[in-house]
Amino acid sequence: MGVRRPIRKETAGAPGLVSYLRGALEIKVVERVTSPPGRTNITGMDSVSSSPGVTQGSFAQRSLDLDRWMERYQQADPDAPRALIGAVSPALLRFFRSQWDSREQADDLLQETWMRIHRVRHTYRSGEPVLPWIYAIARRVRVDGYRKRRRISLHETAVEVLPELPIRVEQPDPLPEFETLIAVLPESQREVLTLLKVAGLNLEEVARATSSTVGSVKQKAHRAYERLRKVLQTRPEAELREEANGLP
Amino acid sequence: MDCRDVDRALLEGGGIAQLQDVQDHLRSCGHCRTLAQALDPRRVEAAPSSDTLRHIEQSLAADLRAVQPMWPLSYFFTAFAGIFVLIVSFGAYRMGTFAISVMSPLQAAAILCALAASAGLLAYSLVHQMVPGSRQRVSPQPLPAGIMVFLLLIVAGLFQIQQDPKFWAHGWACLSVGTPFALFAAVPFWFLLRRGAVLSPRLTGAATGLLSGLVGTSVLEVHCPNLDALHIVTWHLGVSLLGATTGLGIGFLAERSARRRQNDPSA
Repeated sequence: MGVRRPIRKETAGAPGLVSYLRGALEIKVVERVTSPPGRTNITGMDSVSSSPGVTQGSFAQRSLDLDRWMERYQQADPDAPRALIGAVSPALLRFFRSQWDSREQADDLLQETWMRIHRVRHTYRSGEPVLPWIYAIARRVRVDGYRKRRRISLHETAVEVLPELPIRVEQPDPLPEFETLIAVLPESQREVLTLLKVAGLNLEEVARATSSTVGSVKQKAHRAYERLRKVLQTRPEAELREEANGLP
Repeated sequence: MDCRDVDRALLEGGGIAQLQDVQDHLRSCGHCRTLAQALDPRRVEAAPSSDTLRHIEQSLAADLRAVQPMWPLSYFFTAFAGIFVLIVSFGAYRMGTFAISVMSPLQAAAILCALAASAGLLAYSLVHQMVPGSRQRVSPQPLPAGIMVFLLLIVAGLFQIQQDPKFWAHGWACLSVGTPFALFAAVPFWFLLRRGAVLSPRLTGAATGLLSGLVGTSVLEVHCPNLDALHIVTWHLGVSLLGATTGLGIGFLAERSARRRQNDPSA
């Protein structure tokens, strides 16, 4: 039906767009919370029926479950770290990946983040949202990781012959990658947009995670949107029209 | 609905009706549609490997002990404020309150209120810096500089520049009285900070140093009868500035040593 650009992990552009908007408008299509085999499902704690791979609960409910798991983690419940790691790590990894870290570096940062979370777990306060707490720590780990890499790169010498990179065989995507797209933004705007879109935090939570105010987050996001709109406007109009044909 | 309304809707959320409006707009606006599709978070593909997850789980499980959650932040705020008042009171008792008797009631009230408000704001910011993901009503980054500028303006507005023939001698005397009180306050503040998780040692160091310095400045404002604006700005506020700079430096060193430890676990 003329849908030229299938969004990854989506069946078609138009339904994907609608579901994206639903997510953005907090009628969130909840991220799948599936348990690896033999692990406790985080929603299972409240006796919510669950089966792997099924979208379940509301975003708020999931967030509440994470808060409860965090409290149990503080009480040394052996299931708690497993549940938290399983539920939060994919989003954390996406957070690191979307900020220009390689897969290997993102894995390292993920491990370092959990180690720090473990060290300062007593600072989580019952009743407070756990995700801003986690992302505030992850953000700091990313900054430290960046500084460390920069220092190492200053002492490195370039080799004359670079290894040949494997050729990526992928479906051509007319839209730039998320990381490429947001790379045009200043660091602070990129971070806010990543936390909003990739980590799925709301304005209040992003403000908490970045130690700033809601007004400042809103302003940065608006500026980021404006800038991205300008960038995307430079794309040929014909291309946009073809995409429009794919809409219902 | 225009493009800015779409931005607002995407940021702030809304109801089903608004969702319908947004969809209608997207059907007619190619640029908004492209933006919405380009920012779809599902386009960022990443899933941690099971090996990585297992490794993290094992590391955490190996050291899993029950921990006592932090006290409520109001306790810490009270502790910071209490230490501040206690040391300033001790300083006033020990050194004398000569400044209060030579200042007009307006000058005394204004300068002491400004110092108290600054200390309160810093203590509030510090207790929130101790807990990651805390709600910050005042942005902590510009706070130390903002407080210094605020106090500078207050002093400039309240006091006049007078000729002080012994500017350096008087100044040195004030610095040597204020600095020990600042150092004395820094120790309990540091013990309090250790109860939390300081994510940005430089920022927290500067704020703690400034709060300690304000203790010294407050003691001087109660004690020193020299009302020359230049003297107060240079030597009384100088104690605060010295505290903030020292705190920033200590924070910088702490960050560097933490990075070294991270690079070389045997160290």
